[in-house]
Amino acid sequence: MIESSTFPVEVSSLTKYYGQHRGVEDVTFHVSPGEVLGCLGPNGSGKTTVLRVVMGLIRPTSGDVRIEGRSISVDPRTWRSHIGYLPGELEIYENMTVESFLTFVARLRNRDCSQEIRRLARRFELDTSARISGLSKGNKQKVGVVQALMHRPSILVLDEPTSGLDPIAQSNFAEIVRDRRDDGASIILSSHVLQEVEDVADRIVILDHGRVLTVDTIDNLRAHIDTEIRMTFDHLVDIEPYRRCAGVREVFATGHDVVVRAVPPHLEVLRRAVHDGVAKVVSHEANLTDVFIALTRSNHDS
Amino acid sequence: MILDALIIKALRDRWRSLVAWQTGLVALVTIQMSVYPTVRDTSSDWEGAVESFPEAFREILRLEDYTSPAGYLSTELLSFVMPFIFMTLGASWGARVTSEDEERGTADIVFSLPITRRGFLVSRWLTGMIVLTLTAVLFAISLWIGGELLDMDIGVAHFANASLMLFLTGSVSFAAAATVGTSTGRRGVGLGATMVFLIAAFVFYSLAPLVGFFEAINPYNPLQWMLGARPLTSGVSIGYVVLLFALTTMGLVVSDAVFRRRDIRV
Repeated sequence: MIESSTFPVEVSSLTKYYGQHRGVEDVTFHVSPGEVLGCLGPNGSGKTTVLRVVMGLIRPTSGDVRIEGRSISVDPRTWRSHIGYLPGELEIYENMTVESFLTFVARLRNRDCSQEIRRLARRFELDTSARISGLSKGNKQKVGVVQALMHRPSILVLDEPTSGLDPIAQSNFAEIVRDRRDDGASIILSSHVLQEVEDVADRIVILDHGRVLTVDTIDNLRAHIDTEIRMTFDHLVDIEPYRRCAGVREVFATGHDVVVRAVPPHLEVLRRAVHDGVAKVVSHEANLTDVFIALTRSNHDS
Repeated sequence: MILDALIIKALRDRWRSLVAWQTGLVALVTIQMSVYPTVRDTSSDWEGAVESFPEAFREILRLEDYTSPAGYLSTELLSFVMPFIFMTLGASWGARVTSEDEERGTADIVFSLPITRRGFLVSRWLTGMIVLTLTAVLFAISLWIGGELLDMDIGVAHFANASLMLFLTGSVSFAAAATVGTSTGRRGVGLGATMVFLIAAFVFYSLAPLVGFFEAINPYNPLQWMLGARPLTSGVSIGYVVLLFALTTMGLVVSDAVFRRRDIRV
């Protein structure tokens, strides 16, 4: 059991109000070493607010953020030296070249990052001699990604990191995130691209209307979401036994087809189907999109 | 090293504007000084003309001893034009201390780096002070060269005094704009509020010889501290210098206190 004080990132009961308007309320989560925490939520759910509080850019109304066991209000120079941050709305000094910007950032970090800059620039096919004002959105995003990664931080806070990136760069990025995680980095990744989060995240925090709906692993989240199992028989079957199977929420039949909606595991349903001489089974297992939609919809309904 | 990087970047970002200001300033000094020989050669006519002005007008414009070198430079350069240039220069650099990065959207990256807000603020203040010092020194050199060429017989110390007062005028404007700009995160508010305040203070200062109330509050008017001394003739007032330094320092302290406690704007 890991002590709470040793989590690289720990957010406790975080609340942020902008005047009367609620940004986030009572947000609590942590990130362990070597873990990617995906941060999901509809527009305006408070994801960026949480990340900006974590980075000390905005001050919480109440609650606390601890980086490597110490409150972020204490000695920000120290904890920021091992954090890499990519803001959601990235703006970079347009009058600089890529190289001069990255060198400037490295100087402010008081580090020589030249080797890692070259390596990352090669990997993202980024022309470091180009002027930033002349770069496309995607290439500017690559510059943002490089500045966040170039000092090999032990904590990464990435807000919409692949926004504007081409598929190759997205794939490179996902690979780097996995590599960094394997090296022990703690990563918070906020994104609208659910597939990307599903690919790299170990756990997910879902925010809606400024509150945490859930924090869990993708598998555990999936376990709460119905899977649709469509079974085709050569003959009509009685659907009543299916209703009594564990985890089944809904059953209906259309001719020789029986559709079962159930939370996993579905062993009992499948055994019953085999017993009934099923000819074909098509199952749609819930993915992160289904989980996300189901959770946010039920929150809105409630 | 970190402060160096921030200062060098800030100067590099605006070197063209800085060169334009300096060139304009030298041109203005040159033009004004080039007129002086004509004034000197026709001093009796000028004295007559000045005498013919209404008393109130002479007092508002501080037209004392207009045809002497020091009197001429004081009236033409130090009573309004140069203070206004230094005020504008100071306010324009001050208003952008933190709000430039906030309005441009680059603040999120800058303040995610291992720099304290105080460190950033101090670097921007130092940059402003460097700019004002360079401008003031250039002004002193321009005056000195002009004075030598035109045989004005004004000591270097007097030019240095005039430059010091202009530097302080600029630094108070810088401090005011920086304090408002840093507190609100808005450059326009910083610049606008400072200029409105300074123009109001200037009107109060100008009309002080004519309006009893303005005269009464004049000792508390920063414009009196900035412009009230006659640096080319009677030197600087140590009391005013201390007050202006104190006002500038207070601006830094207030900016720091407010900036460390507020959110960085998106």
